[in-house]
Amino acid sequence: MLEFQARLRHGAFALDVQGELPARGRSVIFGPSGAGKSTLLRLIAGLERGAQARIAYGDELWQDDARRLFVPPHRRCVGLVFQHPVFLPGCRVEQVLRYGWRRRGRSVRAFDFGSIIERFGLGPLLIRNVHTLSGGECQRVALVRALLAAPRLLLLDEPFSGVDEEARAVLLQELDDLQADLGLPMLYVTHAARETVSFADHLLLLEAGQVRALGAMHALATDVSLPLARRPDAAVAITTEFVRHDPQDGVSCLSFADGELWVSESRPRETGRPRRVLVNARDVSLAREAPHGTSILNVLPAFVVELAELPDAAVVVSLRIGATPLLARVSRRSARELELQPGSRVYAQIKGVALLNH
Amino acid sequence: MQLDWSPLILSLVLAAVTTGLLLVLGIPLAWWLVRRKTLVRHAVTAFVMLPLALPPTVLGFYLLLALGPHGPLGALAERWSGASFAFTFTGLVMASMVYSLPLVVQPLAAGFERLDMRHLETASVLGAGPWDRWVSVTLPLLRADLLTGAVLGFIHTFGEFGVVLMVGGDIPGRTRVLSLAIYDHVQSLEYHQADLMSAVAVGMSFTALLLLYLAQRRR
Repeated sequence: MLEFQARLRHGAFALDVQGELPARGRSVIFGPSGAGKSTLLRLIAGLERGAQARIAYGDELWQDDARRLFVPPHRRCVGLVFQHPVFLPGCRVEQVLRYGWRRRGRSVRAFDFGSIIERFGLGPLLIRNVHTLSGGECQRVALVRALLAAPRLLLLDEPFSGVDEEARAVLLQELDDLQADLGLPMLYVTHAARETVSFADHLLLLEAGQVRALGAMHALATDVSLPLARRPDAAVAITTEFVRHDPQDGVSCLSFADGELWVSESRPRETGRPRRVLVNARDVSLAREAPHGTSILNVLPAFVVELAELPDAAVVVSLRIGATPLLARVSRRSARELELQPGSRVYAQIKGVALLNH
Repeated sequence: MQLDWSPLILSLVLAAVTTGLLLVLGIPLAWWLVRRKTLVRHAVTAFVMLPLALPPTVLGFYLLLALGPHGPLGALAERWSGASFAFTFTGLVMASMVYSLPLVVQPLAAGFERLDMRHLETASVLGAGPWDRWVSVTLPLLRADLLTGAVLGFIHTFGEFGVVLMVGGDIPGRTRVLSLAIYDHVQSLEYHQADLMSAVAVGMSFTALLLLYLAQRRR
């Protein structure tokens, strides 16, 4: 468990939060800019002084200002990747990477230097001067530098927001795989909703320095009273396993806990790892009867849990396929004509090409 | 004509000792000045910069009073060792430190002001303790400012005249530095000797400054 309780004032901004996150898996702190996400992360790392805070991780008490107890950052064994990482000017990448490795990583030996360099494809960069790195390379080096210091908790402060979409997807995937392999707990700060949904297991919603909601990502992302589900780009992530690929039609079959999904892709993306498929609420349509002769690849029986009117004459519907949550965004008219209510049985239809990416 | 070069050696030794001590003193002082956000900081800054504004004779006069047998520091030294600091090499070093302090502290303070705290935060999260961060992050980042402070402090001390005249008293072999020797030669109408020594002073100071600017350009 990561327990935190903090009060902090920076001019007009006040942070007043309390809660706990599991010390495993991927936790995301989500909220608009200025909500205090980075400040909370810095507090956990021990970089933010002048707060009234109590922070405990596992069985260690890191900070308790009421008892004047403060474990300095270099003894907290956390890794931190900033949005804009800094490197000492004039250093080569290898020197940068070895900084934390020499001080902490070498004695812990969770992995050896060479294997992690290889895993992240940093071999060719090692002799480069840090000022010649591109934005994506900088983030990669900063991430590996943090990992090499053998952290027990990895803190990421919007690490990929300055990176282009393609590189970001790759880095997120690598982070995902890393989490699966090392079981390293991660706490990820972002204001990007889709990144949140595709990455998080646990979620902390922060608004204006206060905790709006805290809990399992699936529950919060499909809660129609919370901002994530109400966004035009709302989505849920379904964790799937690869089953088979049909090369003639270019579709792959993926299974999840309560059914199967067909996804358009010319080549199978089989990695042997669970794969998160992002389903946009606006790509899900609903039918009362099982449709026949439809082009839609995925027709899944579901029931309505709750629904909410949105300002733009749309309705967001929270569904369950068995126990798997799903969101649909439909027009107010459709919701009325289908007489959607909590408990209604429907068929959720998802086009295979809508699942193309992710 | 026999030219006595011992004043040159003395000047170099004085400048080196003064610069070394000033770096030791100037680094914590500059750090304190930059971190301190109160009004005291400005008063201390003004006091540190004062030697730049004062005529060297004024500074030298007060330093002589302070270091002499009736001054606070001089009296202390007299009780300790039987002699005050006036007209001694130690006195010269102390006076030179006051005289050159602003030129060492100013670039260091500017360096600390520019220091990006994220470098230190990153290092601490990576497991570096306070002393480790000083050595592995702060000092390397301040390398150019340390060099500037050291070179300016050195040549400023090397070139001083008024203060060393007042405090040192121009004693051959003990406190007669290059600038005083040149003045004495001119007073005795030995223009050729004065010319040679002055040329050495110009050449050395120019070379030091040139190397400093070349080093800064490379970064």
